[in-house]
Order: sequence, then structure tokens, then C-alpha cells
Amino acid sequence: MKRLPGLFLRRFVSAIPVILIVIVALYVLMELAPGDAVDTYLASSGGDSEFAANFRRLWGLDQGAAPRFFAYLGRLATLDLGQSLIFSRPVFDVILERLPTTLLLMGASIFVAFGLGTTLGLLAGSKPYSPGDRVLSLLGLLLYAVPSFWLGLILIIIFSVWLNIVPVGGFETIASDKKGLERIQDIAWHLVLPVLSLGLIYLGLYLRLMRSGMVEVWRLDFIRTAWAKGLTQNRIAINHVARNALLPVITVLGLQLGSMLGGSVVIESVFAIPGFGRLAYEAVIQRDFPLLIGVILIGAATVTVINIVIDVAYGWLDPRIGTQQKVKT
Amino acid sequence: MNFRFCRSWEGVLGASILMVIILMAIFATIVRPGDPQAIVAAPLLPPFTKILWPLGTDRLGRDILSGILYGARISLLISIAATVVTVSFGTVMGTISGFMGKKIDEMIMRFSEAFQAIPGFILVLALVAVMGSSIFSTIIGISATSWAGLARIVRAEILSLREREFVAADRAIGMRPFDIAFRDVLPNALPAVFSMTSVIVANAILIEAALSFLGLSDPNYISWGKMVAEGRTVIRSAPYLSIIPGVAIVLMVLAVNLIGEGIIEALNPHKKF
Repeated sequence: MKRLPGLFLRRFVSAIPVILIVIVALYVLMELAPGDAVDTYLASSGGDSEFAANFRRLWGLDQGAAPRFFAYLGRLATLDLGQSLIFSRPVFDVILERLPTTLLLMGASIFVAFGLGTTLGLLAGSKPYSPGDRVLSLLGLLLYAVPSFWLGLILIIIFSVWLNIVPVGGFETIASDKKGLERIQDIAWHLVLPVLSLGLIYLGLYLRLMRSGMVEVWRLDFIRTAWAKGLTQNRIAINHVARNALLPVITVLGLQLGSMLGGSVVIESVFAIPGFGRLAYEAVIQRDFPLLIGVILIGAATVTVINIVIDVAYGWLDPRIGTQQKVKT
Repeated sequence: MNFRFCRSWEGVLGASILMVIILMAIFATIVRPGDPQAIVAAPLLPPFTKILWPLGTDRLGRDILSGILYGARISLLISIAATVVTVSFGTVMGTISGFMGKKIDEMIMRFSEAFQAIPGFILVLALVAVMGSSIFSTIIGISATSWAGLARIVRAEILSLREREFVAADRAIGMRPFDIAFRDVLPNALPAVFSMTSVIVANAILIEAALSFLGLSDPNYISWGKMVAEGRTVIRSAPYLSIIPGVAIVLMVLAVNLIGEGIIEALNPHKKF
């Protein structure tokens, strides 16, 4: 078996039981929720008990737990996540509409957090315990302690209220009929503050990880060899220390994806961006359980898929990975 | 180790800030008796203008200092309780997973991966939606998102420890696996748990703040996140209403992170003082 396709296949197979567990857990959660979909539906539209009974029969809610579970699995297999109560549209369609916005927000935030974070971490780690390192480390620690929603509000106060240079919220100017390049520019302008709020929080994490990784590597024997070869400190820092410190940071990048997708809930609420996170919030506030279940499922699937991609990319970067027959989890 | 902790400025600074916050929580009822959500003065008094209301009042005329003092209680209560639940559950699961053989290990690991696959904050939202907004549901929600990471770290630690000679010795004298796991192996894995704790506490504070910012925390208690959210409606005219409670959150999380730094520095044998 070729190394990378094999690695991909193994990761894919090991993800299947994980997604199955999520599905079962969500089903249990749905059963535990007070009332059923019909109760929630009637709460908004009204109707007598006969009307409710008809609805229960129609949606198969009058049957026992086991038949309902298998019916649920069957529907999932055809990507039918049910009907959203607040949108009166299929859950899958609503989510698919919202997901790209959030993926764009996350992608840009990861770029800020990872790109800038590792660069600053490299600067701090190239001269550990120097004054510059102390300042950067403290900055990392401080950013790591800031709640994203609060940073978002502070940025709004500074850049939208006082300086008035970027919009307060939204994804794009409503009903502006902007097309092509102009629209892209408009969206980018709207996303500056949300991306900074989400990105700067995680920047602290990557800065600190990169820096502490580099501090560890400086002590290793091959660095002494590099000194002995007469290389300059900058060269050793970049070519030897940083390269070896970077791999663990990439692992954490994969682990943080779920947390970042969760963070989008808060950021999208602060900046009124109609994305996936905002959808999760709306589903909870308006008690739209079919939508909530769908959001969690698609969220988990997204995180799992991106993690598989990162693992394969990791295997491509580090030739030692994926050569053994069994990957330890 | 205590001595070394005191020598790191991070640890000392963090411990001092946290101590102030704990004192605030303890003496809240003495400094500001009565309901912190009661209307006591004119609305929207700016901070640092009246001796009686040093941090000003919000748009209903509620004292901000009271909110900060009583908010410290909720923040401390929830972060401590959530950490206790997370650490106990995560440690037990990690130990069982690392010690009880392939099948159980495989099961627990898949289970923890499923928990890690669900975006953390969305899982908290879902649990709070099902259980209703209360202090209890907040604690359960936070623990549900944090236990898996800890369990995996404990498991990795246990896996490396179980091959050591002292475990072989335990087996030789006929100790039961359960006793070996929890009486001999686990105590040796505790330093790893210890160094993770500050991250778990900090995370718990931030999740609680975000939850109450979104209006999904227990409606009966005032909290810093809720104060930030309430200030948001008048953010143009009175930004201090959102800024002050936010600073409180930052200071508390920073204190916990600094303490974590101090512990790591103190445990680090390479660091010279």
C-alpha cells in the first residue's frame, strides 16, 4: 500500500465509529429534550390535540424508540436532517447555505492566528529570555486570556465607534447590488474585525507553543553541532530550531479547529454575521432541535474531515509518519 | 517546589491577582450588602466620579462595583466546580483506558474522539438547551467539552508508566489490576494532570463568560459576561459598561495562566534561578 493513500484510508476508517457515536449521542440528546418536535411546532403555530396526533403519525413520532432510531439513521443516510422549525426549510439546505461564510471567517482567522502567531513565536524563541522574548511572551499570555466576544466589542468601540473606519457588523452591505471585485472588497472590509477578534485570541496560543517548542529544541545536541559548524544564531534559529518546533504546533492546529468553530458562535453573534455559528445560537434560543442536531452533526463532520486532511498533510511533511502498519491513536 | 514557585515572578503575580479576586468574592456581602441587581442610584453614572459608586452605574442605575464583586463569586464557583468534575472524570476515564486492555481502551478513545469532534462551545450550547439555563447545566456543559483532552493525556502517561518495573512488582505480589491502576500508577501520572489544570480552569472561566454573554447562563445570578452583554446596548454612549467587567474576566484568566506558567517554571529542572 502506498504510504499517503494508506494513511488517508486508515484515518477515514477510524473516523467512522466516531461519527456513529456522535449520531447515537445526538439521538439520545434529542430524546432527553423536553417535548418533541410537534410540541415545539405547535407552540408557534397552535392547533388542537387531534392535529398534533396527526403530525406525530406523519413524522413517525408515535412509534417506539428503536423503530424511530432506525428511521432516523435511514434519513441521515440520504442526508435528510429533517425540517427546521424556524426556517420551515430542510435543515441540510439551511446549514449548507451558512457554512461557507463561517469557513471563510475561520480560514482567515487561522491564517492570522497561525501565520502571525508562529512568526512572532519564532522571533520570541530565537532569543529565549531576552527582553524582546519577554514582551512577546507576555503579549501571548495576555491575548490568551481575552474573551473573544469582549475583544470584538473593544475593536468595535475603537474602529467603528471612535474612528468610524470599518462597519459595526454584518457580512456585506445589504441590498447594495455589488458584484465581482467590488463585492469581495465589501465582504473583506466587513470581515476585518471578526477575523481579528477570532484570530488574535488563538494567535496567543500559537505564539506560546512555537516559543516553548523552540526553547526545548535549543537544548538538543544537534544545535550544539550547528554552533560548532560556525553558523550564526539567526540561521540556527530558522533552519534548525524553528523547523523542528513547527510540527507539534501543526498538531495543535488540528485540535483547535473544533474550538475555533465553536468560537464562531460568539463572534458571529457579536458582529451579526449570518453564518454557521449564528445558526447554532438561533437554534438554541428558539429551541429548534432538528436544526441544532443538524448543526452539531455537520460541525462534527466538518472538524473530522479537516482533521483527516491535516493528518495526511502532516504525513506528507514528516516522512516517518504512516510507515508503520498501525497508527497509534 | 513551593520555593521555586515563589521565585518565578509569573507565579507570584498570578497568585496575587487571584487572591484579590477570591477576597472580593468572600467580602462581597460585607462591602456591598443586599441584592447586586437592585437599582440604587441614577442610571449611567460614569466611573470614578462618585465616591459611593466608584465604578459608576449601568443604564438601569445598578451599581457596577456590586456586579463585579458578586460576579467574582459565580466565576470562581463555576470554574472550580467544572474543573473538579473535568479532572475527576477525565482522570478516571484516562486511567481505565490506559490500563484496562485493548477493547475498553479502544471504546473509551473513540468515545473521547467523538466528544472532541463536536465543536466545544456548540456542545455546551446543546447541553444547556436540553437541560435549561442553570449553574448546574453550565458546569456539566463545560466539563463535557474538557474531559476528553485530559483523559487522552492521562492515558498517554499511564501507557508509558504501565511498563515500568514497579508495576511488574505489583503484579508479582498479586495486586489486583484495579488497585495497581488507581493506587500505584495514577499517583505517578498526577504531575501531568496538575500541569493541565490551569488550562482547564482558564477555559472554564472563558466558556462561562461567553455563555452568560449570550444570555444562556443562570438568569438568577449576575455574572461578568452578562454585564458585558448588557453594556453592549449602550456601547456608543457608555462603553465603560462593557469594558469594566471584561477587564475583570481578562485579569482572572490571566492570573490563572500566570499561575500555570509559575508551576511549569517551578517543575522545569532546566531552569536555573
